[in-house]
Amino acid sequence: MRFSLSVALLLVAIACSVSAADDLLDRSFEELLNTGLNKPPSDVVVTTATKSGQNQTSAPTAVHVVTREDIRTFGYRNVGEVLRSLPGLYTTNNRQDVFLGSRGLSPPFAFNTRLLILIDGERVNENIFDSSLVGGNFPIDVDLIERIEYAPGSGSAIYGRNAMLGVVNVITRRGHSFDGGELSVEYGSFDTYKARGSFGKRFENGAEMLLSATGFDREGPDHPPIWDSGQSWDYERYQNAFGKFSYGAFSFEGGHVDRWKGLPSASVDNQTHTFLMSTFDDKIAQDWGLYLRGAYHHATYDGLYPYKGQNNGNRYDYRETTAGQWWDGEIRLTYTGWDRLRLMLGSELQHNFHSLMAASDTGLPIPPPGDHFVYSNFLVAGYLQGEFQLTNTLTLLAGARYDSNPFGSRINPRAGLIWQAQVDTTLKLLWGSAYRPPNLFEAANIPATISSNNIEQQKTVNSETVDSFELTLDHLLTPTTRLVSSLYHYQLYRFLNLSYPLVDGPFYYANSGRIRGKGVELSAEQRFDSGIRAVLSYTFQDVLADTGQRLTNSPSHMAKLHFSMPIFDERWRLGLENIYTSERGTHSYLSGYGSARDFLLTNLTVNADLEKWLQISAGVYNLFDSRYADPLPFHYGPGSMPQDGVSFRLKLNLRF
Amino acid sequence: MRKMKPFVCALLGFAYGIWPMASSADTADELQLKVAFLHKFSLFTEWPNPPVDEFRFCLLGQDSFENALKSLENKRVGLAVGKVARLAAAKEAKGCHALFLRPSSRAELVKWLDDIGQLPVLTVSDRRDCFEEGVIIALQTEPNRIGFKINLSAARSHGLSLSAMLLKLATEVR
Repeated sequence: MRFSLSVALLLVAIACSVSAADDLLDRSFEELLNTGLNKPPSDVVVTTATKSGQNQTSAPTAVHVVTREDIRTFGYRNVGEVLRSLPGLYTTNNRQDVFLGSRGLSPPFAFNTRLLILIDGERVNENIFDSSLVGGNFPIDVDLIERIEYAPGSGSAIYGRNAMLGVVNVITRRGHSFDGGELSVEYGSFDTYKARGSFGKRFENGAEMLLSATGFDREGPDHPPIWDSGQSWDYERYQNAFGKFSYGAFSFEGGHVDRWKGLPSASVDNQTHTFLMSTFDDKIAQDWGLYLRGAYHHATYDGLYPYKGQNNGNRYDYRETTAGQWWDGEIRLTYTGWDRLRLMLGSELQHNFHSLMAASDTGLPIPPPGDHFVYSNFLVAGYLQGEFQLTNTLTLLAGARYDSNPFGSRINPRAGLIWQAQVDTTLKLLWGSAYRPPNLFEAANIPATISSNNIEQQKTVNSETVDSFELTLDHLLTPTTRLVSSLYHYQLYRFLNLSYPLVDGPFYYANSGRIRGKGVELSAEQRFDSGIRAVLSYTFQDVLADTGQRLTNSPSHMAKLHFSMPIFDERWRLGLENIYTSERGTHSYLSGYGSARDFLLTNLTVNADLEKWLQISAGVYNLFDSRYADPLPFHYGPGSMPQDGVSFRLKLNLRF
Repeated sequence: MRKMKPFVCALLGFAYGIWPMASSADTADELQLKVAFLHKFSLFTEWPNPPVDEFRFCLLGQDSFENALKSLENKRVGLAVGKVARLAAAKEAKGCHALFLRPSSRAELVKWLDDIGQLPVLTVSDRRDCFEEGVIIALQTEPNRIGFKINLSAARSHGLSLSAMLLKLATEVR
């Protein structure tokens, strides 16, 4: 109902739109660069689906792009908020982390292990939980993002493990886009402060640099204490820094984030991630392209979870610590010398040279076995991909990747047909297989502290695999209306999820049966000469376990509207975001099976470029104060975690 | 339904409050915008023999661009007057000042660039791989913007000098 009102709103906007046409040739250079497109373009180049540039319409799946402009227009505050704007993606916030769900799959306590997340092409899923969480612990400030590409579907044929339901590539801004310094300050509800200083520049020889640092502090809403310690908090504090330097074909960049999160259960979580990487990307001979990348990462996690002793009511502390250090590298050769075939050959290595997991519990008389171990391993992969131009309108994409891992090696093939049926209509068919081996956390089952500390002996868990099939239609309904629809079906085997042998006792990860998912993702984009833009998307997804039961935290319907329009004069813009999510199932040991009710979230942001040196932004989030909650893992107790009501944010950007 | 009341009120308030403020922002057709960029590039480039009477804008390849390009006919470029010509082959590029390349394949682009050689012609294209292949200015379509990249060494080899303004506004300079 609320959603249809928003649609009605959109229709009013259409009626009100006025077109402005003047002679483009008389505009200044800067004005041309700031001129929007009155029709959805078909030749936006994306790189995430195949690791090579291709037009969005001819990519093998429906690759979605969110730009820096969109991030500003809709006032997104973190990468999770950016991603949940896309068809088929949704987030779950347990007030510790923001988890990303895709294609109806987001079992609580899965740490984004089924989506691969990249920063400028470099994998940032760390090496203990295979996770890259999308809240304040994401290594890059959202203001430093040029664009985010999301390629849904199986990506293991080119990316290897974890690219099961999709690949997200966060592409950072170039130093030139700042062209000087920028100071950004924010204030928002729940005592939220954020400050960022950035400096970017391009030199005469084309070399560019970017340096940026951010501090964030949020007190968070009040919660009643969960147990009698009298303590409860929901604060979040983080600092992050990013630097980038590029010259010609070379690029160096590094990022760091250190985040502290207080939880309503009086627990404290600290996560850090540091990475340094360098890349080379150029033609090395007439028809040969070479891409090289090497990176070093260090990611840590430290969680302190106090609890009340069942017999004496005393406070005890359960504490877990992980630290992972690894380096990885990739080499990729592209051959374009043949008329109708583009060939790519690549190899990736990852050396997890130091992975540490430790746990302690002051409530136990002696340290449990398996409370501490250090592990290292070496992963090798090779892949081959060909793009065959069968006819002028038909392209065949075929490829496969071999990956070795401690749980056995695996080959993931992929094949796709891309048919440009008409100038404005493209039909794509893609079949692919993908996988993820158990990560160290799942394999060691450390929270239970009941298992062996030798991962090789831990044969109880196995790799999870998925076969997916999807049909995508990209069609210009009118010159200003673009429709993208994807119909998919996947079967996921040996679903690796939490298992609870004793209802409130230790838990561990175990493979269960097959998961079947099917769904449709529809999106329609409409633009007007007046600068009004609207994207409406609808997702239906049906994800069932072998038992025929719907998975928890799997909404059947999602609908999203993103509407933006200029107001007052050309300096001001309003962005309206509506996200509807249908009911999601919950399951917990205290409340059994239940559900988190459906909700409509409305966010409204106004942006203005008041002066060349001054930008302001004001946003109201959850405008109608919707009461909603996100599902929690079984062992937490309550079935779901209530989310924030209405809140605001004011932001000021000063450029110099 | 009771719950809906404040929502509806707020929405109506929003609708009546905001629509009178509706404004318009600059938008344009993608092809026409690219032509406008081509015109600007011509204004900020120096040729070894500057065009005096005529400034020749040439087009090679797919003709969906030809209509858009017509707006440059008789358009002033410095002292010269714009003339638009569609070439049948890259070998005819001699005499062109700016040349827009719209090849149907990478192989065609490579061959054209080979034929053009080091003629003092400003080559511009919007094909996705044109930058790597050595076009001087590569237009890039963003979801809601047009940007461009500059290949400085290609400009030098064609004997052209690009103004600081161009270099400043490009998204990338290599």
